[in-house]
Amino acid sequence: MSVFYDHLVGLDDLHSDLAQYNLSFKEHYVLLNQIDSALHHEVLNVILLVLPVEHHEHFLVQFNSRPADQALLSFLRSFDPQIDGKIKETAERKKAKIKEDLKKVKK
Amino acid sequence: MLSKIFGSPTKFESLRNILSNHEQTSTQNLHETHPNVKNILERHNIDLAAIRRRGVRVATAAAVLGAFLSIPFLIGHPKYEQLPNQAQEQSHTAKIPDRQDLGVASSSQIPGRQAAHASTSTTHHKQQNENVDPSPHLSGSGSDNEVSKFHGHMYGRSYMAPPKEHGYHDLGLHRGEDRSQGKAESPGPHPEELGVNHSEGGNQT
Repeated sequence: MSVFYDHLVGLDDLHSDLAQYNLSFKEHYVLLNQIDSALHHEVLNVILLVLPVEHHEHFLVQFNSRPADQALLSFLRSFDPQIDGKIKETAERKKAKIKEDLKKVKK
Repeated sequence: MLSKIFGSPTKFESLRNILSNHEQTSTQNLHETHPNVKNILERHNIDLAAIRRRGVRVATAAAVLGAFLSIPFLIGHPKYEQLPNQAQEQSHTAKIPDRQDLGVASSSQIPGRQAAHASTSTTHHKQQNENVDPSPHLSGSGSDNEVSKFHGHMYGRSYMAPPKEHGYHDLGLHRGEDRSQGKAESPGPHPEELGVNHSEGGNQT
């Protein structure tokens, strides 16, 4: 596991979408990293919306030092028990937008 | 096939442009919604994108390490599947496979061995054959050689090498086997029987 919310945000579908473009392995993973980065910022946006402003600093410092720590998710749940669903929903929404744009490029 | 190596620049560029837009929009969105975040990130030298990248690196390293560590396991175990209860049963009845099982040397060649093994190895052989699902390795041939290879791999070792435990095999012995047939030298009394009591200062022996 790389970050604490990885189990909520899957990239498998986008991975297989990209695979249909017959790109080189390097190109494929460059694009996949871009998607991952976009989702990462979206998820952080939701997380910081849930957290009160005075906790932002604490959270970001903790996240920087221990990105995979599941205690971070527990910490967020103490502010919003629905945070898991919110993260999932945001990621899915963003993924749907990306998929739609990817369709515009001819395979 | 060649596209896997060289890629297709036009497609890649257009895809990258689209995804770059998404990436920028998400980043901007974050900083616009939470203007305080920029200060925090600068104060603590935090790069949000780097956190993710670092995490991916750790995950990759863990996957590579896991694959490396699993090599001995994969080499030592043939591909076969067992139901959980069967695996448990086998672990209860597990014993060290003897040389006959391993197909290295017949135990009948060593005097005094045959009788000891006759009762155990035949029954055990049957038990194990019943417990094990027919696998691609075993099905079809069913020969002793195939079975002995399979047994040899049970302990993660080549079927050519008998499993070593407690150095018995260095002496040509199996666990619990006494080649001198009861004439082996006794290991001597247990230290407790000698009356050694360390708790009383060590003066008394």
